[in-house]
Amino acid sequence: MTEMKLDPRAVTWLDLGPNRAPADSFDAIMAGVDAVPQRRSRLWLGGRPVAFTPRLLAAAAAIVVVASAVGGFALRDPILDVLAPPPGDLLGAFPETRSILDATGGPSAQDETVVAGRLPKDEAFVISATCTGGGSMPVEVWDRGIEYGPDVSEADKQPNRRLDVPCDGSIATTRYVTDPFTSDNVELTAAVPAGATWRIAVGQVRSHLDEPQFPALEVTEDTALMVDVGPQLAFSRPGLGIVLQPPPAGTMVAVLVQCLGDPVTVTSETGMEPVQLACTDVGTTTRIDMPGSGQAVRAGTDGFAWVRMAVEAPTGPSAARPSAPPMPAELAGVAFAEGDGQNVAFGTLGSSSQQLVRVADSLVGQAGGDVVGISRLDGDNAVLELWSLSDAAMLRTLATVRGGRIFGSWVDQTHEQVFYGVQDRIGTFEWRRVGFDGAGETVVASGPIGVRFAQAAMAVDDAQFVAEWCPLLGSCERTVFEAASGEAQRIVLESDPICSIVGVLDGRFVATTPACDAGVEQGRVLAQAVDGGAWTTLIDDWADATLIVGSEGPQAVVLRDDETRTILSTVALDGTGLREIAAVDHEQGMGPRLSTTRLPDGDWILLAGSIGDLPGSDSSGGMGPQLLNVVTGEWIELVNLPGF
Amino acid sequence: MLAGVPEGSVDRTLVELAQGGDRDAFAALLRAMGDQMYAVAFRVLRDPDLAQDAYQEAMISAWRQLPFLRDPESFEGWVRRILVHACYAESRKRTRWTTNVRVLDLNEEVEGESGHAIHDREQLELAFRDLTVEQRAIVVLHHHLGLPLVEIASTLGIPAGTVRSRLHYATQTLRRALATGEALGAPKERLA
Repeated sequence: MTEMKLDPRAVTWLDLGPNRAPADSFDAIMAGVDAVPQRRSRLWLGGRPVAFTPRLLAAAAAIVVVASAVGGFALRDPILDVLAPPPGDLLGAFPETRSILDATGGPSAQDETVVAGRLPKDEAFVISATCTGGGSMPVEVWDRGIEYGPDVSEADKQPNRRLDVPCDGSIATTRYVTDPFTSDNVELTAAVPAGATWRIAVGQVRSHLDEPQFPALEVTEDTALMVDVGPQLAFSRPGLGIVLQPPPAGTMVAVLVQCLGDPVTVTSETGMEPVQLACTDVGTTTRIDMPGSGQAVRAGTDGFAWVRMAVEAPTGPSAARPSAPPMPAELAGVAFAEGDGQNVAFGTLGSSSQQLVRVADSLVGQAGGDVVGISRLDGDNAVLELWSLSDAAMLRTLATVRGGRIFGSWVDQTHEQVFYGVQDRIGTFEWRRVGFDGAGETVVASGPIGVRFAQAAMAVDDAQFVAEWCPLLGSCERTVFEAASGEAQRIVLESDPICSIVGVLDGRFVATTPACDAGVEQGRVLAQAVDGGAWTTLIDDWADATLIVGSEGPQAVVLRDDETRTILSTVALDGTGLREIAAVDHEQGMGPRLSTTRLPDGDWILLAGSIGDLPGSDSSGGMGPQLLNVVTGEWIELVNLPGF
Repeated sequence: MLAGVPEGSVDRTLVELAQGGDRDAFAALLRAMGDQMYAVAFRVLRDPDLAQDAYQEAMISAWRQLPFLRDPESFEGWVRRILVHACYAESRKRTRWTTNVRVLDLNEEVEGESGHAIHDREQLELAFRDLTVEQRAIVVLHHHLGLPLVEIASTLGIPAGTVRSRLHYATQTLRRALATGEALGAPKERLA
C-alpha cells in the first residue's frame, strides 16, 4: 500500500500538543465507572453520560490543578562547575516575582548544553539570564513530554520558548507560562559557549495567575457578539489572537478588548496601525473598528496581561455576495435558518442577503414551511420559540421547560405543530408536541431509564413523528406518532440497533447501520416499514442519505465515497432501481455534503455544508452549495450563499 | 509521531479482569492507554475541552461495553474505535453550537523562531480544521499514531479504499495549505 507522505512540517505540527490526559480526567472516568457499572442501566442520551462532563467537574478540576501545581514543584540543580558567575540581581527589575532558581556556571573548555532546572506546570515565570566571555547563549524552554517520531528531524524540533543571551554581561529577559496541560518535564536549558560564564534566574509570578473579573461586554445596537474568547493570560508578542472567517466584502467588524496587567499592543494583518492599551483598568473596554477581512488580530505584551477579546459584527442584511443564479422559483423561495449557538442567520436559497439575529444559547430545529422552532436557555430553564423564517422574527413562545433543556425540535407544517425533545435535570427525557398556537402540549414518547441512544425524526411527508431508543441491554423501541390523528404506537424492535435515522417517508423508515458504537461490520443503508418488520437493503456500503419525493416517487438519495470520488445514487425505498446519478472527483476539493435544509417535493437536492451567513460559520472546505436535479442531472451553483 | 500502543501489548489478564467488573484492572488499563487516547482526541478535535469530553465519554463507554468484547487481544483497537466515534459525536454535536472564529494559540511564538514557522502552523491549523472529522481522525491515526491504513480501516470499520482516499485528500489539503503559506510569505508582524 502506498504511504501517504506528509510534509515534515505538518508531521511536526501534528505532534505538537498535549500527550497527557488532563489530571482530572482519570478521576472523572473512574467516577463514571463507579456510577455506570457494567450490565446496569444508566441514562445515556446521545452517547453522553450526563453527570460527568468537564464543566460539571470544573470545581474539582481546579482543585486538582492547584494541588498538582504546588505538589509538582521540582527544580534540579544544574550540573556545572560553579566558577565566577556574572554578578548582579537578575530579577531586581521584577519585584513581583519570587525567586525559584538562581543557577550559575562556566567557564568550560568546550561548548556545552546544560539543564538549568525544570519549570512546574500552571505557573507564570520571568526568566532572566546573563553571560560573559563572548558569543551568545541560547536559553530555551523544552517540554520533554512531547514525543517525536523517527521521521521528525532534530532541526524540526523547536523549543517552547527561546531567549538569545549575548555573552557581553547584559541581562536578557523573557516570560513564560506553563498551563495545566504542560507535562511534568519542562526543562530550562542553556547552550553555553566555550569559555563563557553564565547565570540564570527564574522568578515565579504567582499573582498574575489570578484571573480578573471583566465586566459584561456592551454590544452596539444593530450588532451581534460573534465570539468572546474570555480572559486569557498573554505573555508575549504578537500574543493571543482571533481570526474571523471572511465575511461579505465591505463588512466592518469591531474587536472589543479588555485587559489588565502590563501594557498590551493590538496588531492586525489588515494594515491597521497597532493600538496600545495601558491595561490598568479592569472596567475599560476598547473598541477597534476594522474590516472583517479574515486576517488575524492579536493582542500581545512584553509583560503579563490578562486579555479578553471579542468581536461584534452588524446584524443587518449582509452585502456584496454575488447575485443568485437563475433557478426555479419554488427553490429560490426556500427559506432556511442556521445558528451558531449565539446567532441565527435567516435567508432564502435565491437571495444573496441574509438576516442575522442574536439569540443567545440557542439551538435551531428542523424547519417546515416558513417556520422553525428555536430553543434557547433562559437561566435554569429552556424555552421553545416559534420563529418566522421569512421575517426573521419570533412569533411566539411555545413552551418553557423548567430545570431542563430542549435538545431538538421538528416542525410539522401540515398539521401546524412542533415536536421537541426534552431532557430534565436528572437526565430523564421525553418528546412532546405543541401546536403552532402554543396550545395542546402533550407527551408523545418517553424513554426508559438507561438508554444506549435515542433519536427522532419528522417524516418528510409530515405523516408521522418517530422517536427511537435502545436500552443498554434488550430490545430497542420505537414510538410512531401519527401526526394527523395523534395516535401513538409503541413498537418493540427485534433487530439490532441502528446508527442514525436517515428519515421517514411514505410509511418507510430509513436508517444507517450498524450501531454507531458497534463493531466493524459492513455499513449499510436500510429501510423497513415505519412500524417495524423486515429490513430492505438500499445500499450495501457506508453512506450518507436523504429522502425526497421526486417525479419517480419516494426515493433515497445516497452519497458514498470510493477511492477517488463521491458517488450520488438514487434508489426506491423498497431497494429497487438503484441508479448512479453523479460522481464528484475528490481531487477538485472536498466532496459534497447533503444539506439538512428541506426542499419542496421534486427532483432537486441541496448539497451544501453551512449556508448561514454567520461570520464564524464553517462553510469552507466543501465544494460550495449546489442544487442537483437527480433526474436531469442539472447542477446549479449557489454562488450567492457562503461557501464559494 | 507518537508510537501507538501495539495491538496485544496491553495485559490480556487486565482486560479479562475488567470485563468481569474489576474496576482496579480497568484503572490500570486507563493508566496504560489514557494519555494516548487523550492525545488522539485532542489532535482530532483541536480543542482541549472537546477532547476531554470525547476521551471521558469513550472510556466510560468502553467500561460499559467491555463485557461484550469478544477478543481481549483486540482491546486496543476496540477502544480506539470507541474513541474515534466519540470524537465524531463530539464534533457533530458542537457544530451548530460554536462559531468558527478561530482562537489562535496563546503566546505560541518562540522568540527567535522563524515567522515562517508560525505562519506554517497557522496555515496547517486552518487547513486541518477544514477537513472533516473523519479525515482528521485518519490523519491522526496514521501520521501521529503510525497505524497502517489497513489497521485504521479495521479500527474504523470502513473500507481500506475509503481510508486511503480520505487520507489522500487530507494530505493534499495540508500540502496546499503549506504551499499557499509559502506563496504568501509570513506576515511582517510575525517577523519582528
